[in-house]
Amino acid sequence: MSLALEASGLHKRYRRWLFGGPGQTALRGMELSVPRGTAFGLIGPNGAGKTTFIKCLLGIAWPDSGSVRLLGASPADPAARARVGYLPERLHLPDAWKPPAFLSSVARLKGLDVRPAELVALLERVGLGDAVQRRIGGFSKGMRQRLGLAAALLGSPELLVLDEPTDGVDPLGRVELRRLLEAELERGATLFINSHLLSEIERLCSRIGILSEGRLLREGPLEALCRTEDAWEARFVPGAPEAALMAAGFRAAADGGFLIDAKDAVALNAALERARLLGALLVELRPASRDLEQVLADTLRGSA
Amino acid sequence: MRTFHVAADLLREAMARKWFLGLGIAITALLLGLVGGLRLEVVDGALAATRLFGSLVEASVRPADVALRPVFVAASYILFYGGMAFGLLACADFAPALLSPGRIEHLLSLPVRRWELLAGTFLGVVTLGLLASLYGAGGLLLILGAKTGVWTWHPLLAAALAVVGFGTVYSGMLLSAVLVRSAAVSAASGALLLLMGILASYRIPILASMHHGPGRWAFALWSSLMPSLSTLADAAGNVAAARPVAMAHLGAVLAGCVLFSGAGLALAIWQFERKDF
Amino acid sequence: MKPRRRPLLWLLAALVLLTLAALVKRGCEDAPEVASRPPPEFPRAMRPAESQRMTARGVLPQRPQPGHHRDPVLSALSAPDAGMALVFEANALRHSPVGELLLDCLASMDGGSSPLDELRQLGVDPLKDVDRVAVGDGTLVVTGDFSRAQWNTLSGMGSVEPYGDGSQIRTLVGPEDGGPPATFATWGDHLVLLAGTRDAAMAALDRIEGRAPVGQLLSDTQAYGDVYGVLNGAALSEVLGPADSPVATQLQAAARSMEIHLDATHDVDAVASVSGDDSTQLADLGRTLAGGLAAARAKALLSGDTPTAELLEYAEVVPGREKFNLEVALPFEVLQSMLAFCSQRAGADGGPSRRPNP
Repeated sequence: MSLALEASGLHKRYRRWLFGGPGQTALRGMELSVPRGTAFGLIGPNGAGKTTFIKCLLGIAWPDSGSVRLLGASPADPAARARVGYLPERLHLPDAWKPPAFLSSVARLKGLDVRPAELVALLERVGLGDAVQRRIGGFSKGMRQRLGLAAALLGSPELLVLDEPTDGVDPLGRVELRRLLEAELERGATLFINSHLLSEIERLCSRIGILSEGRLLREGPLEALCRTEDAWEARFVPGAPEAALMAAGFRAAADGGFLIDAKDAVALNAALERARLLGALLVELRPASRDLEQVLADTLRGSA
Repeated sequence: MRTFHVAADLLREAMARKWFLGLGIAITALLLGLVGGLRLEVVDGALAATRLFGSLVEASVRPADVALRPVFVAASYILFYGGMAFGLLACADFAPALLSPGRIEHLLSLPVRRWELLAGTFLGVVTLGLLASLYGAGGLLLILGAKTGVWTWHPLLAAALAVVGFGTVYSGMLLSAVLVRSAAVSAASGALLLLMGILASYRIPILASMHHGPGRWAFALWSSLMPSLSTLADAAGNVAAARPVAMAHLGAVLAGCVLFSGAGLALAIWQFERKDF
Repeated sequence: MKPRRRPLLWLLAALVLLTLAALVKRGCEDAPEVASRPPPEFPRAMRPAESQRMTARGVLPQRPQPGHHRDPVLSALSAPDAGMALVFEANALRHSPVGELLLDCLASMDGGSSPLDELRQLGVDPLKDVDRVAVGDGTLVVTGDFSRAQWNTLSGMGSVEPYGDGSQIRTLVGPEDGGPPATFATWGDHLVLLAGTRDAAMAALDRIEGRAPVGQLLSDTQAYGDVYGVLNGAALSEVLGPADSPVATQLQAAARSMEIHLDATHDVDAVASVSGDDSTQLADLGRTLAGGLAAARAKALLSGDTPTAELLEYAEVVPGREKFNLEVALPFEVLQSMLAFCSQRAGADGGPSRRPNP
């Protein structure tokens, strides 16, 4: 399986000038591989090193040691960066320009020959069809994000690196952008997303990485990370005796179901039998899972 | 080459900035003022009378091209030093803006080499200076040529020399911006470089008046490295006036300035290549 | 990994370029500047050297009485109705490039001895003893050191009579055509005067010695330059000659008087101040002359006559109230070519210059 990006033993310390002390370590031996065609979400607290990692990935910052491969090549190779679309967290846009001029400029720097009609089509795709002739200086934050995403999508890149892609975008807009990114995934692109909106990560990404203090604490498929080993979620016919179930060892779940801890099938069936004897009729049983927020919290707590 | 794309984007951005809009309007207004308000009476090739907005300008009657020389020389010096001062202030922000968070990360993620970004910025600023200088000088000689029949390209050449001088100063400003991302520091470094360039032009007489010692040695060393900007300004004035110029001397001064610009740019790229953003 | 090798190349390039820039700068500091022709020094006003010269002659800085020149030459020339006075500072001229050229030309004159030799025979060394030569209305005045002069040996010398304070009047034998005899006068050992009539000579001596009023034609403060003078009215017309060109016609119509100053230190730099009664005619004349100079410069440029073209760059007409100043310089090379016939004549004679060593 070919990799979209591969980082091995990455170390990065930001040194201070002259009298500023030893500096701050942003990455401590980071190891990460992201297969092509997947959507990877990198999450972690502020100052974890997520943006630094992205910068090392794209050659914006230079790691002190370790290696980075971007689409099989070095980030210093312009040909590799030509196949990447990047949306930085705080993209600076020229206020006096109009969107087609900005996109045209990015296209030229990418070495792309894009016709004006294609630029307009791209702007419509990101929801800026009505703002084609407006100056960027009058755009809202959400519109700026959409324009930045459009620039990242120029040339149908193989890898999309998005830092807080829906920052400032309204909820409906986030739905649109998510659909757009899903379409890119279907096209075969690889997504690498850094976002604090865990719900968006959950909806979009199939693989997750949790970064804290420059170390990758956990990494893997989303389902695997969110799954709990010894917990089950049961749903009973409405009217089940809640208090009795609580006394029998069940816990109330957020969506009206009940959670039960069972190490094996014997313990699980024993618990279900107890519920049946109490008059609770089972309609659904599945392994219990945590949301990403919980996963993150548990992971960080465990690493402390 | 992407260097030219970066330069073209810079020019596009400059057109939208109020500084350059103001400069363009000011130059155009001045030229239009000359068109409407300047009356020149030429008799058999001699400039017989000059009227500025109806008022007679007391001046001797002499061959038109000779009479226009002081005008061209004055324009050359205004272009050189005035243009330099304006450029220091108006162009100080380009490099810091290029290096601003959100913009530099985006640019570096594109398939553009780091040195192309700086070289393109340098090229764009110098081109901007060249366009403005040629517009002013060209407009002036067009107007005076139409009014007097005296056509000469020397003021354009003098304008080009002024741009070489500005490029020398801007290379230092670019280096300063890479080291410290600040428009104010960049402008200050440009002003300092301009001052040092003026002093370096007079290093021989200054050295002659200094006592031997570490101070003289230090001055001799750094002044030998600084571009001779006043010498270039004087050469531009001579060129504008169509006075004889020792071509070898002018060529050496120009080469010195161009080499210094290259050195400044190379130093800036050296720092830029190693820098984290 | 951080690109270590590539950035060092840029640093190396910067150091090399900076070193080259310093070397080129050192080279251009040693490069010679263009040797350009020095600009003309137009005699527009009395300069310190000329002021010292006048002081040494006892003329400046004090003027004892208004209207009374102390300079004997100016006094001699400035009759109340005088129309012309032209003074040649021979002592200054003979040391100038033009002066040496003229002297060489005089020394090479055919047909016997040159005028310089004739003067030497009278006991006057023209290269050492003559200070100034001045021409007025029918009057020639020469100043210098004539203590060794033997005027009695001058051919045609008639009777000698003392006049005034230390003057002597000698009447020369009249010309063969029967015209009035010329009068030769001396004022001490420093001034020689040649007048058309005895009365004219006496009047000039009276003015020199303060017994007669002096006109305002040429004052002490106008005595600057290597050649200086004033031409008025008829004298101006006579000098200008017949009006056979539009410019000459215009000049005769508009000009009432002309004050001339020449400097021959390098080239011949001339300032002519033309006054007239009609300011419009005068302005037109000024413009015409300036146009002529511009055309001459254009012609010189086209023909490749660089020295003339360079000097004509400085030619200009400076307008003023009821007058204008015409400033023009004549290149030494042009004068050399104009007097080339002298060197050809000297070469044809096959002998060296007759000019004795100074």
